Amino acid sequence: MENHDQRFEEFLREFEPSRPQALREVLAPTQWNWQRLAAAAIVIIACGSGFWFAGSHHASSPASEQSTAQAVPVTLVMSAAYLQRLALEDPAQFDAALAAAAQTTLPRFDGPHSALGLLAKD
Amino acid sequence: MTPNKLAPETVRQLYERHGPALLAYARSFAADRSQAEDAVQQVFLKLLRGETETPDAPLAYLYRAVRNTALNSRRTTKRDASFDTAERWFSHSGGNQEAALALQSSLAELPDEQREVVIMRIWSGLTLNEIATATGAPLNTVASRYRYALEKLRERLKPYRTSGATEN
Repeated sequence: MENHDQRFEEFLREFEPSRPQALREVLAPTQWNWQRLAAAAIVIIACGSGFWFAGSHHASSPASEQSTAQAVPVTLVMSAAYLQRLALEDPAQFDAALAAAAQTTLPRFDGPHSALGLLAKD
Repeated sequence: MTPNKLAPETVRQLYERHGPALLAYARSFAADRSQAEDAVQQVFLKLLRGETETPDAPLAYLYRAVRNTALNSRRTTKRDASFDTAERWFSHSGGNQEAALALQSSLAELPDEQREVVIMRIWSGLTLNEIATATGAPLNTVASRYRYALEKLRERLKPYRTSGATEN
């Protein structure tokens, strides 16, 4: 009888239950962090380009040009490191920081020497 | 007493090894396949995120949790389990899809407690002792359920068995 059952069990094992989908949601947080990092990088590059472009067209005194040239890279490097750390460790604060940075560091496009303003005129 | 939480790698291995059997198990309680998939995924994701503490017997926990989650989903949607013949729970290694469909409908006809024992034993590889622990039923009861289930399945699947595998 046992052998009888074993053979039938073997027959049943010829059938394979269909596989469920991969646990893809589990991978999402990692992908999500990379997406946030990429977004942060784009914002930083955009800010940097804006500052650089505005600075290169700025018709101000040599002293003010020098101070801008020194100040901008330091701010950007600190922002990048800070934002990267936030993106990895605390996504909620990262969002808040990005929103705050957008208020203060994105280039103005309505100023007299704005790079985007100049481009818009062209 | 420290909380017993499974390592992510262990959870993934459990999913690889027992996911298919758990899906077939969930399918017999859920209204449809997507609800069954959701039930299995929810249970494993909770484990991965450390949202739940697991007892000493993870498989027993998984079967209970999948069953409860599938039943809750079915209650929420107020739909009974329906068995669409176009849907495949099983595939046959020899390509006999007619037999796979017959197995599916035969399993669906079994009482829950018999179907549970068969799936745990055949596709998750649990011993009858382990099933007794998992279900909380006495070993003799589990053995009887298994025996009855096999008898019914044997009868239903007789036309699909190859001559070499058929016993007399």
